[in-house]
Amino acid sequence: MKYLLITILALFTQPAWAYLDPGTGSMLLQVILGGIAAVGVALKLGWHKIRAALGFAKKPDEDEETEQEAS
Amino acid sequence: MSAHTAHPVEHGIDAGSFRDRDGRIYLAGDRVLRGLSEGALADFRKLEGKKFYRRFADAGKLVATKEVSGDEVPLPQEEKARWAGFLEHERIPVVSYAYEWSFGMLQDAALLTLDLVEAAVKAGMTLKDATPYNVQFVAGKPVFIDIPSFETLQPGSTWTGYRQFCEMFLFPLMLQAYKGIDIQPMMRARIDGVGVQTMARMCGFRDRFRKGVFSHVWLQAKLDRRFGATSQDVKSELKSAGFGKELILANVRKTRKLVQKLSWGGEGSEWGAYEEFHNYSESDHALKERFIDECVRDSGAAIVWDIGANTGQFSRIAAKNAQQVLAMDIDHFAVERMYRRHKEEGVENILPLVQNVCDPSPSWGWRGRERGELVDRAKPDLVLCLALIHHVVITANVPLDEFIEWLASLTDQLVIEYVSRSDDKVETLLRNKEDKYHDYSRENLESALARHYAIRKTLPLESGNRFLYWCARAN
Repeated sequence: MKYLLITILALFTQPAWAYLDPGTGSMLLQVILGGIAAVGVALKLGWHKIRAALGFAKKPDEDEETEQEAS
Repeated sequence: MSAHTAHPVEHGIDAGSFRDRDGRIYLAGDRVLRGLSEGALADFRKLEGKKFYRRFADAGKLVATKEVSGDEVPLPQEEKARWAGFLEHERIPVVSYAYEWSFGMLQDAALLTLDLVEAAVKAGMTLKDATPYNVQFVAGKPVFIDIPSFETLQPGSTWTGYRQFCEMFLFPLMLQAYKGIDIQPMMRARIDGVGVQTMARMCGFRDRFRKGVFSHVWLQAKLDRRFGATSQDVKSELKSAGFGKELILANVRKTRKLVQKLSWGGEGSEWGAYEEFHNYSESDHALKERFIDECVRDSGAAIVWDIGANTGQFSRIAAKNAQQVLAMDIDHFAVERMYRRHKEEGVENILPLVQNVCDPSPSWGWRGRERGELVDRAKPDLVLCLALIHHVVITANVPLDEFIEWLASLTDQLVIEYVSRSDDKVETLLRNKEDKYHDYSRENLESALARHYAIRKTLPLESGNRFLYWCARAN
């Protein structure tokens, strides 16, 4: 279940490194790594993250893409 | 320490201590002092009251530290005025860096770091970073030196040092254990270690099935790319979602298990088993041992470098009389074996280091001064250079007189072994190489030595192929 969730989350994410914010992804990973202890947090963190990962939410706009290439 | 007002002495700001804006290290005479901001000072006082702090300090796993009053600090007034308070640390005998350590040394430093995070988090504190530069080897064991790295754990905060832990400890250890990629060149190439994206690119599809790679490498790289540019305040979101310290503890414990399980058996090592088949007789071996023993004893040297130490057999002889021996070898697994053996036997005054004398640790980092050269960290009183010169001259192409000149710039006393051209080790080196090493001769060595030193003692070994010289600076 855990692996299914994180695989979905990861597969549908797109690169968007407009500027460097080195810790954010690593912070989120800690929720996944936390296992059972993290289930509550993951749920509360909300469906919007998962929805975003699955492509239901607004995609990054063109400007962000350009910045990414420039960085 | 006397309580009277200390007068300013010649001091320097430690060039590598700039990153933490809440403090700065000063080297004043032979004292190590650290100025602290108001917040950092409050955290230190809190830390001092914690049981775990005492427990680790008593076990020698934290550098001995005490708060000193401004009156006792021999710094100029304007420097004193920058800080709310000062700490004094015990001086580390020899400072060494992760790109000089073997696998087991980095692994032990990683485990200590994780143990400290776990203990601190349980007690409502945390480590704000996780870098091997915060760990030093003293008496053969890792000691944590960056005391102000302990700070109060803010409610809802994650393990802030996690990513740095991956880049500076976990990834280099994985590369060595899983792929046989040496940690030293990785750690010397980039002062912040192996980046998450770089690591992900180095791991192929099959590597994802190795323990820890899927989550710590692949997934972290994915999430990093996806959320690295997010405008959301993830920190606050995590806090309101109830990210608690049980989560940090769970992650730290899992990471600890992973780090502990990583192992490396020396795949790719050329020199790991040299001792078993050295090419000279037992009586020559005994002669050589006695000669080294006498030279070290009579030299009165406190700090001895054994360059090309291999198994460390002569380092251990030197350690009987010297205060501190630095046992260096170019071969990672040779150094790893020394570390394991000395750890098991409780040898305290030998520091094994991976070091190529033809490409020694440079001064680098911010302003080219953040991390210093080895000679500035532990200047030798005596250098042992045994069965090494043929590798330097013939393998690494360094001109013989330049090599001796370099040694003379390092040390006033030198024990050097010449391996003659008729020795089968030298013959092997020359077998597939055009012999342009006309400077490689005993006569040349002796005249090069004579330019810098007086030869105090010579010993020809019975085989007739090897000659030992003990040289001291000519006055």
